[in-house]
Amino acid sequence: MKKIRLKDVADMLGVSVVTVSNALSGKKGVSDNLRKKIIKTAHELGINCERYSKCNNSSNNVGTETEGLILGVLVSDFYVSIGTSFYWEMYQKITYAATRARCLTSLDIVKEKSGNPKVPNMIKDNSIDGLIILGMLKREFLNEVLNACQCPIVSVDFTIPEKKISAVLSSNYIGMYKATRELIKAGHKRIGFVGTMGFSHNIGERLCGFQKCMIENGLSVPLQWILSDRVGEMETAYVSLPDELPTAFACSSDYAASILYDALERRGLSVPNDISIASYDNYLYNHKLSGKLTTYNVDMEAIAESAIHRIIMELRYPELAGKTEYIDSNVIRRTSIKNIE
Amino acid sequence: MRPKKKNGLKEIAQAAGVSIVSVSNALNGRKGISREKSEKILEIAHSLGYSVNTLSNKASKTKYKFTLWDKEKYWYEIFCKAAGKYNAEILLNDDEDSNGAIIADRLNSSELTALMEKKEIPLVGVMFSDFDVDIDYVVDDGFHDAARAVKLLCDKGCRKVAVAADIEGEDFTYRQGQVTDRILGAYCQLQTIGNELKYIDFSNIVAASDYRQFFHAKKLPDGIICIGSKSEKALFKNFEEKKIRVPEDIRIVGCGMADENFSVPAVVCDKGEVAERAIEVLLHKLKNNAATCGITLIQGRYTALIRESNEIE
Repeated sequence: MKKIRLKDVADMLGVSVVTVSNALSGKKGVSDNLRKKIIKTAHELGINCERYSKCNNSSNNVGTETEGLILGVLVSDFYVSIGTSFYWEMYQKITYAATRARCLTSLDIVKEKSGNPKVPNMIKDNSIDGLIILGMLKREFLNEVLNACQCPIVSVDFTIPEKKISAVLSSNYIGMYKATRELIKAGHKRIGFVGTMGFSHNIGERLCGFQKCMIENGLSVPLQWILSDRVGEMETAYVSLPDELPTAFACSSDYAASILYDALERRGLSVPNDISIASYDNYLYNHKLSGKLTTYNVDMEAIAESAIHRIIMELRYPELAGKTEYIDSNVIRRTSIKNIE
Repeated sequence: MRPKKKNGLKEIAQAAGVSIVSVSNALNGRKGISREKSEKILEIAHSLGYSVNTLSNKASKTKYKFTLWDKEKYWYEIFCKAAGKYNAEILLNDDEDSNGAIIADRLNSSELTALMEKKEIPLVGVMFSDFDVDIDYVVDDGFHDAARAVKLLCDKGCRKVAVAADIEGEDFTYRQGQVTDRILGAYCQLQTIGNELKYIDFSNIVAASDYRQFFHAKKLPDGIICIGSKSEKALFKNFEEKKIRVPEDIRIVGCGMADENFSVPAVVCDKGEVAERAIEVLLHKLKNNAATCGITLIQGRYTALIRESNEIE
């Protein structure tokens, strides 16, 4: 296949190569209209615009221009109630990362619980420079927000695949693979999974990471060992155990692991003596398993850092929108896995 | 609010009680300064409101040297080109002093560990990952590439999508991981858009994706994602012989390893991008004394304009 060059773009549009270069690298001297056209054509031809702008901006510093930017953060009240929660901590990390880039954050908690959430004023009157959406919102409301918002958006912990919006999330597939590997290394062959398929895309990807590890080791998982961690229309947290149990479970989240633990305890089984557990998140407080769980770490700091970086980059180069970044980390080994022979 | 830039190093030096040279060394990650002292200086620079990059950019003319372990010289040119953009230099299979190393050869765990222990420099593995050795890796994101390929088919109205992979041949052990990632990615996407979620027998999923099953299939799906160009070419030829039109009767989207050529629209990993990210990872570690970032995934690029009759977007 012939390598596509800037000249191809230039020829197609009847402009000079210099103009194309200026347009792609975000330099002055190109009208907005022409710039858009060039970027669109370059994109269609398969030129990686992000790469292009990246290698040209090394002499400019993003940091000097970000001072005083205001970044809105949206989060549903389903995720942040009073007390500690995963998303509260994530928000702290985002604020911290923003401060380091000398930006300010403005938090708006979306009242989804009470029914009718309204698009916040900071979005409607365009008073923010960038928006971070922390965690999935209800589809209709999300669309309202996306339609109203005129600044770069980055979604954190979920993707919006049908829109060209950048996302930063934890590396579901690789992470769950790594966690499951810990069980296999400890000699387990009969392994189940806890997580509700179809509940979120993240869980689906984690199930695949788990399955990859099982396939590679020539192991199969009977359907009755794939357990849901919620029941009923209210999605109450509950794990219903089958009669015959595997020797270990890979859990799609620390929360799922804690619900499994409670169910095992009701049956008089202990972790790790009877059943071993590996899970995902490294975020579990106020539970008997806290401090014991072997779990894949979600690197919130790196995620926050990356989200802020993306917003700042997209303010300068709007054409960079639509990239998804998966942040990997490592497994924190604690005591929830027992070696078996 | 912002302190004047030209006073930068001096102001930091005064605040930290060290010489300007030390500040400069610390900010640029050069040798000749203890890690503790360097960290302290960076912290003070931060607290004074300096972005380390602002100050180090000019001085980042320090040329880094990276060793590339690549017996086949398959990556050499690509890495040289990428290194040029970052003012770095690539030494091929060289044992001399370098600031970091890129491993393109498929070393086993003990070889990797030996290398890691022998050289106390950052290492990055390219296009492979070893979960037993804790260094950085930059690999193609086959899982999400395949998911994206499926989505492209579904967006075009395909409702019955199948996966076709080349799962034979001597090199399959070598490719197995990459192929499995793509098959799983395709199924993961099919599940989220599928009307009903039914449980798939994952243990058989690789064997069930053999592309040859479509040669004599009585009923064909309306979309096929081909993993690897070999399966795509074989199916394309077979359909042509049977007078099945692509894309009118059946749509095909490819999903390939680095730099594979397809005659249909495909999502393929770009080696240049892999090389650039690998160098970025090394530079990031050198400049910020950063910890291991783990596996960095490079999303494939969608090439649509290969065969217009089969164009998707």
